[in-house]
Amino acid sequence: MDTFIEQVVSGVMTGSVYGIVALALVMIFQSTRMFNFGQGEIATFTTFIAWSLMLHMPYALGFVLAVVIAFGIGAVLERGVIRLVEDKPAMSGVMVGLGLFIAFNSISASIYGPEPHHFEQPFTGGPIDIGGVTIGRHSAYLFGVAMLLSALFYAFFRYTSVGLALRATAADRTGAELMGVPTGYMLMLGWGLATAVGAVAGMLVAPMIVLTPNMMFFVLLFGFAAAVLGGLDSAPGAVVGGVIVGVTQNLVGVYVDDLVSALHVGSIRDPNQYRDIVAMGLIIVVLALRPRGLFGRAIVERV
Amino acid sequence: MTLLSVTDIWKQFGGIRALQGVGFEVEEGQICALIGPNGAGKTTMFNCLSRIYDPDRGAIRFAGSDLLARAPHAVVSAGIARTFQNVSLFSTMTVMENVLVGGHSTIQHNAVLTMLRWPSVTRSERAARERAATLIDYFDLRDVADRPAGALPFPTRKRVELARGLMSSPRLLLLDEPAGGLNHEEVRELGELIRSVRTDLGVTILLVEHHMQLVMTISDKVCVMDFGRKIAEGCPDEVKSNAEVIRAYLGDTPGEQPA
Amino acid sequence: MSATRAALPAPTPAEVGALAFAGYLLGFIAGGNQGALIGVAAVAAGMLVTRFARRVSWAQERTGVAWAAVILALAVIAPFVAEGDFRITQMATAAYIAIGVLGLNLLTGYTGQVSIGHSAFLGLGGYTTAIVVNEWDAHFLVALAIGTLAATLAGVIIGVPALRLSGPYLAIATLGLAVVFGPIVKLHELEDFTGGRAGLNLFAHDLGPPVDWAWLTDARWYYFIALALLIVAIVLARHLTESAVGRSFRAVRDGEVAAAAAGINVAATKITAFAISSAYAGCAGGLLFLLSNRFVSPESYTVLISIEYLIAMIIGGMATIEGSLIGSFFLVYLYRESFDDLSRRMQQGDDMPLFLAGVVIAAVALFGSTLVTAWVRRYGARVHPRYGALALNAALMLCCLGLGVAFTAVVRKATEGFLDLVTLRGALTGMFLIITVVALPEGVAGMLRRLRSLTWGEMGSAVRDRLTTPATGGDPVTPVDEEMTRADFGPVEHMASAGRHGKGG
Repeated sequence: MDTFIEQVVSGVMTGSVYGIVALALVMIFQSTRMFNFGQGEIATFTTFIAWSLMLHMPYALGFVLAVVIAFGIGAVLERGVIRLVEDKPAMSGVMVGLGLFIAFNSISASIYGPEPHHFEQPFTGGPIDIGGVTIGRHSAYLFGVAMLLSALFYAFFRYTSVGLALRATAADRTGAELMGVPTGYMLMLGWGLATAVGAVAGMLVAPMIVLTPNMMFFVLLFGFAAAVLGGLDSAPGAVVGGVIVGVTQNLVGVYVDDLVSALHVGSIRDPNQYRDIVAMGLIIVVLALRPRGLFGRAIVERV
Repeated sequence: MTLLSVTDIWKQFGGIRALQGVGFEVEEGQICALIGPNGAGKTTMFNCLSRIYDPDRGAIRFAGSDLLARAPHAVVSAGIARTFQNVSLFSTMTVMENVLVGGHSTIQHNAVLTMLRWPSVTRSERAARERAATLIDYFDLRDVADRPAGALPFPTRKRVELARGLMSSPRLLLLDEPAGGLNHEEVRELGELIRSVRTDLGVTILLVEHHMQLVMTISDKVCVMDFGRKIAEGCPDEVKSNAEVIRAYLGDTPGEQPA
Repeated sequence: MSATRAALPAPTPAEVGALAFAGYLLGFIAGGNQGALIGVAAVAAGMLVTRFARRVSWAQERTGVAWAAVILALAVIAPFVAEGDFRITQMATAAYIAIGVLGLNLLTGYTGQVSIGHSAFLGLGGYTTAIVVNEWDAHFLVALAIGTLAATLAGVIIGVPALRLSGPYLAIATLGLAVVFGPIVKLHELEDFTGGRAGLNLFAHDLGPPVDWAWLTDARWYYFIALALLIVAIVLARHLTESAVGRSFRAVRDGEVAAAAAGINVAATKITAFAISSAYAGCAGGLLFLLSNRFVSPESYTVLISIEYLIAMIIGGMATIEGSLIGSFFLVYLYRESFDDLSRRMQQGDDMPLFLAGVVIAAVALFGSTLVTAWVRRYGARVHPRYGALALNAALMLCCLGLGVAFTAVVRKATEGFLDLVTLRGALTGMFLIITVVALPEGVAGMLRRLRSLTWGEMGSAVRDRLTTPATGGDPVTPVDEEMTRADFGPVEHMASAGRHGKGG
């Protein structure tokens, strides 16, 4: 039973990273109705920038600067690229996302090379012990940051006028424009914020897995899984979705062996290899059963 | 002979009762109009007829068979075709292709046979193209036949949609607000076109319409709906003098209900 | 199009140009400078053939067949003038990729169902083919048929849950499919069949030609298999797209509700598209196994393959068959080969490629810009009523050369020492993809289709119009012509320009 709790807790921790990525994806989907397939690679790129900054300055300053730079990248991308395809079919958005994906991946690779870089660990110290369950300090803080971020975003969208304007832009572009909301700036802001959140996720993930140009690939994928599970229109849903994906992955890693032996269909040599398969299978199943996600609202097609 | 009979249809969206026990009949060869103020449930009724919506209760019989037992795409092969409120053409396809799509159910479309260009495929395609060419001539679309439908002016698109609907040789044609977006002269021409389609092609027509003048000049029968109920039925003159209809149109209603 | 026309018009400049270029390119790729000459000669022969065909009444409607015959002849001659097996294998690669891209196009381009999961279908086809060869020592073509069938089946199975998803949701689900493919074949439990992480190497199996003719080397045999399958794939796809099935694909893409109301079974249509598309992918995957030294590994079928195919489809032209061919050529020769070649030459200190790239970029930017064109018109007329614009344009061309030099110097300086151009390939491709989506939504094939309606006279007057001050009182392009061209541009262009005007500032 202890293993079970430990696995669940550590799943919650890793899941919170997916949750942060999912949060960024949801924000972009909310403002421009597009999935940013380039999200992860842009985050990797900004993490690399943070890495070079941190060679010359303390962690905190580098972190803040990197977040600001990420915000700038996101805003510029929205203005320079996304705006050109916003009137076009959804497929154009998917393609532009894929274009950003390979472009940023290759920029990171060509500037920083494929070899792994060591990224500074901000939260040092031994593991924390809560009621017999040990948690790595970094994961614990990671979880804290994820919760904080989602609470902040929830509050931002819920209680500030800028957040309201952003939601209005997302819900009805023309209507918001008629009400005097500067929708152009709102979209820029949405993309900037999302990219900044992505950068935070990148910098928090980098110490756990080494910093390489392909670092965010699977993280992004599970971020997508989380966002889809959460239903793409709620920030808390995204984080909950992330946690579900993380916990599922961990439990599969531990218990698939027991399950298979219990069914008497042979034995599993390396249970970990099933983690990603089951997690992706989960996305496909959820999408097939509930196309709008677990927490998403159904949209009635009007004719 | 009764072609279409609708009995006691109910349909609810969330808290909104869009249809509350609507029933009417359409005779073969008639032009029948469904009118009513905004939010009366006319388009909902249409969407039930073309099986886009499932009614909660009630029966729809068409030419003796149960229409509700059919899938949306099988409504056409039963003999019912429709047009849409804001014209719903396949915008990247040419006018000719749009019209041909209307006859999809009559053309051999088995994928394997098609890939092998089986003789039956070629034969049915040729027959369909001939019929499409006739319809394109009938609706005066020859000059634009090879143009993408999305780039055409609105009245032309309406004619294309009519041609597409008639391509399947339907017995009943459903027109959803055919006069919408047309100017006075265009509405008059449309009225003539609808009447001649009925006589030339022997099609029964059921239309939803706001344009009273059009309805009153072309219809044989008018059904009036209000708040999801049928409030009157009869020939145009009877309906015009019906007290309840006048009340529904000229006020005494507690505001408008969303469609 | 029109069957009533008495005689077909003379070939348009675009047709001649595109074919001569294609002949040159094909020839050059296969046989260097010598091959290029043969290629151009073959195109000239083709022109004569069609010229002749135009005069003979029964052949009037068959000029397309004549063109196809010329291209086919080129494709058959190519492996015999090619320099070495590498070139032949490269051509075969272009052929199999064309099959895969064509399949993707049927699903994504025609039916509008985005798939990022095609690498999994390719992989399934490739692995099944390899496993059948390995386990039962079957003939390659038999194994390939089984592989194709397996992929088709998978397409149907994936198509059913995909019915409920649309647009970006489908993209994510198929992305998931592509990603799990690697881990699944790497499973220890399947290692006996799939070879696990290391892959399945069937180098020892002889899959060469069944006959012992000296001229039919292994490479040529593989090439002819790929070519034959590509031809079959094109013919089947043509039959499909020109029929009720093809129309139902596009109808579903343009509007599902209207399609259902027109009597199209939307679910069945989507599943059909999935099945056919994955069959094409499975076939391409089996050929990939054959052409990569009879070797399959999880690394041959990663998501990047899917993305490359999508890029090829978009750049070539969605919902066109020729676009799939153009796209695969782009992928093999420009994306994979030229880029390596270019970076190699750059590293050797050759500045020519950079200079040319700079000139082209500057020329596109300057001459393509409506702002610059308007500026030239306005000020050209002041300089000299007739030749002022020409003079300004000449100056602009000189500017382009200068900018080319500047571009070379800047890139040289910036890349000094640390930057390897090969790793930047993705960045350029990404930008290229975005630019294509934004500026050329119909791809190269769409552009060619538009150009095809231009005649020599129109093209001449367009150039004259652009370069010199238009003669007073008359726009060279009459309003009627303009309307015609607009219609050819299609609704996409219309919407795009409407959007631009709408925003305007």
